[in-house]
Amino acid sequence: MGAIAEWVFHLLVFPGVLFSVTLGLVLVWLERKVTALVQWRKGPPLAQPFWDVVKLFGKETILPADSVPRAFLAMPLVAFAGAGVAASLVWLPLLGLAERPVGDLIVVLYLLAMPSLALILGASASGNPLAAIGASRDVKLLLGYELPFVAALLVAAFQVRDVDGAQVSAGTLSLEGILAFQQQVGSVLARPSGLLAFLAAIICVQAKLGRVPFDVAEAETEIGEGALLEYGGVGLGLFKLAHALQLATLPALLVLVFWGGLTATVWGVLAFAGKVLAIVVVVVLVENTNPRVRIDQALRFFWGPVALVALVALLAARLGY
Amino acid sequence: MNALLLPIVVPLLAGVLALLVPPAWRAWRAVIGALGAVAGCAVSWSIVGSRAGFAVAGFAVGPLPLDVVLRADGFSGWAVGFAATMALLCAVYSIGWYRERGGAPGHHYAWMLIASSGAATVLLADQLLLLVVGWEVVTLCLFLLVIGGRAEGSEGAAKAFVMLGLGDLALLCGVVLIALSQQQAGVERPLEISALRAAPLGTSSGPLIVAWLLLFSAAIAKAGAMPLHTWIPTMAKGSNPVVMAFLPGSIDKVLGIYLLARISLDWFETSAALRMVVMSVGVVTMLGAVFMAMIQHDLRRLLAYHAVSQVGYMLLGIGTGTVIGVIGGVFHMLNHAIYKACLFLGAGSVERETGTADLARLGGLGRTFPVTFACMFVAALAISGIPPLNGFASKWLVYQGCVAADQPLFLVAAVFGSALTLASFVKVLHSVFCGPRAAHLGDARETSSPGVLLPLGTLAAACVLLGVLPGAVLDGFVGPVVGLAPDGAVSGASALQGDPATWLPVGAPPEVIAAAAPRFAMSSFAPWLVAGLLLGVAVVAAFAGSLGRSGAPRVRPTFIGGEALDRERHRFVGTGFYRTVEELPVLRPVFRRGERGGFDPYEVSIGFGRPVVALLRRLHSGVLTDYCAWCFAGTAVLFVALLFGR
Repeated sequence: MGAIAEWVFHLLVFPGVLFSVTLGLVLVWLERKVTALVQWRKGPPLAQPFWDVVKLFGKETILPADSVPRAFLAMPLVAFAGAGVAASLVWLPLLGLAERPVGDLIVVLYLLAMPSLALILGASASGNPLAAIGASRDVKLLLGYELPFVAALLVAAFQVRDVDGAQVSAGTLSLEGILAFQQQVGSVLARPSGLLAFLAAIICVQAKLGRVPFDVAEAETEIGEGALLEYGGVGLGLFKLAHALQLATLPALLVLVFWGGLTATVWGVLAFAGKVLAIVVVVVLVENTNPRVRIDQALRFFWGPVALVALVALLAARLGY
Repeated sequence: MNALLLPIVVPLLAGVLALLVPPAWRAWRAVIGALGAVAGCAVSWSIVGSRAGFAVAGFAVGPLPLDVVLRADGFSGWAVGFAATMALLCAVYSIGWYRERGGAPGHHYAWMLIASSGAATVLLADQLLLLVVGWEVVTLCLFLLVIGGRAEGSEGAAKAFVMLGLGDLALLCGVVLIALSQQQAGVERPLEISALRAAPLGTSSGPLIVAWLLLFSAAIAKAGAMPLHTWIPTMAKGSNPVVMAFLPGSIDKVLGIYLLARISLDWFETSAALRMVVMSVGVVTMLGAVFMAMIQHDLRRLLAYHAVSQVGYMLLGIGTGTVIGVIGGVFHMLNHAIYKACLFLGAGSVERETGTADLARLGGLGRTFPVTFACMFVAALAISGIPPLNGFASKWLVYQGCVAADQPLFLVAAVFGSALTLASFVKVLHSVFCGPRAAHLGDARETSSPGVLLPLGTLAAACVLLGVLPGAVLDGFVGPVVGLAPDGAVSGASALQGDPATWLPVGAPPEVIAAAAPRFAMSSFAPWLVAGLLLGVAVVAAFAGSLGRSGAPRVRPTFIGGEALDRERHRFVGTGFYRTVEELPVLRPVFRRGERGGFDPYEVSIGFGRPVVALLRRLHSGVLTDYCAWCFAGTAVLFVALLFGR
């Protein structure tokens, strides 16, 4: 019983949903604040993203006439659940809280794709042609970044070898294993393959978060929020929360996989926070200084140069660089 | 009668009985079909866990013995039961599907039962020639099933028969090569599989490598891996969905992967180079076929390409040669049969009411096909490997196998292939079930026949169950394939701890493998926990959502910038989803060539065969004197040869 209560606490409160949502909304505020500074505005107060969500949760739910109701209503829940569990599975090994490992890099990768998938299916179920265009773009974007993103993250998995001089294994997908390796040998980022992979992964995170220049799926000015078009009220609120969860999870995942994770000292925590903030600020600055690309340009970009860099990094990691 | 004979004899007798029913009593064929399938299923499951053998001396084919020697082991035992279950589900579905349409055409049920008997023969045979006989029977039944269905099925049936027939020939040649090498080595009982397993053949000498490759081509022709896959999409165009679900969807996969697992684990000491061949064929198959699937406009053809693509994962898993990878590959075969049958049967349910499988002409059926939509939704997510469904569980094991075998590029390809599969099924779900409903579909709605809905629901439920709780199946069924004793393992996934170092290469000493048994599967993943977490968060979110304004949601017209929605004109059909991908510079020529059959050995060889046929045609002038001249010339050549030949 105690174990179950502990799990529920880890999942729903700390470091799972509640903590990650709070952190995500703070990061959303940071994003809006930095954007405002770039645009020479004052920006919102810290509580603004919270009130936005609270307000959305008080609105009524509207069902489009051509929708498939059950699928349309269920998809925001799927998005939120996927993002919430992904957040817990990334934070648990980071903080060293889990007694036994649950999930590994592959599980986290798949769970992190669930919010996009749910949004795509929800948009499709809404029956709106503009949302369908958004969904089609979102799938193609997912296809685009998933190839380099997977390759880049696997660099860490395949760098893990030769611990203590003896070949223990041919690499590991376990997050705990990757963390332990970095604490013994040094961060993945320090080697050439790790650096290349990290750069590719940051670009993919930009697209995974749907930020400019890769916001083709929402593209307000072309297809009016695209995939999100028919959502309002609680549904929209849950998608926004899932998004905030991803904003809290993806930078933490990058730090875990490439940048040494988190050590339990004051300086360790500060360094970790600095790294996460640095990644978020880079994403926001790129967002504010670039125009939107077309979907075919995005596909070519990700399947071309970015995938090439990530695959070269992976081969280099396999060869021990 | 020996229990091992029953899974072969019972469906065979029922099938023959169904063949004898005169056309006037057609309804009885369905009854016999269903009862035969139920009986076959019951006797097949009764031999699970049995390690019995059975032998009756037969007769000799030339120097080779054809004895009826059967043996059940940790693999064939449950595979027989599984194949019989798929046959039962497909038989029940056929009854529902053909209800109100005058019953199934021709001897549909008879061929299904006889195919099921042939499959049991392959799986239980302890003698290679007997295995070849069963293999042939399944090929023949496939041809007869397709040809008996629709008129437009004949092209696909012919192509399938030619390609599978060549595969069967390769199998026979491989078996003969094995027999020859065994005779040279003075083996006492040549071609007996138990003897072969006790002393596996090496793959260092030329003839044995050729034999291995021949058996491998037979296996991939049956399972449908590239480049011998092309009969499946062609056949899909003209055949009934239930035939697709039954043979290329499940039984052929079971047989092909069974043979592949046997040759690469048991009968041969497969070398690293040959394993590399298996893995490479696997990766090419999974990526090539899924790209082709993405651009298809016909639902049946699209599903057929996925039936090819998924074989890639099985090959990749088995090719890694590590315990966890092989377990993943075999488990994926099981999962694939379940979700692919569900998809084919779901597509059949849609086609039955709308009369079309053209994705551009479907749409908006989600509201009137609730059960079909729900089941296909689950199966589509399962084939795309979304946690916590069964496709994810087995793909996860295959990925771990790639890590254990130190193959990063294959691993990336496999994960990417899974994303492409997802994309393709987003297109399917969108084009069939979502979007505005086209007017020409009228008020087409789902049948209420339990014969159609029950198999669909069963398969979808199995997708969830095997995904959330794979431990029991892995310990009891899949583990024994690589020699993991179920009694050595703590059952269920929860107790399994592990570290990658124990994911041994296949062929490690039995005691080492047995020691690793409790650790092998799902160690660091705990699928039931992930599933529980997902459900828990969703419930909490739903509760939080309901705290606000309550009441039923208000229905409003679809918003397209304030314009009135024209359901015919304002549609974004799924067939346009991936035009961007189709038009990418490198991919475009490949897609064009693929659609024209440029990578199809059948079409290509037809191209080469044409000049030969043209030459022969010219010789066949129909003029008597020409033929006489040919006869004379031939006799002259024979005469000269006999005169000076010695």
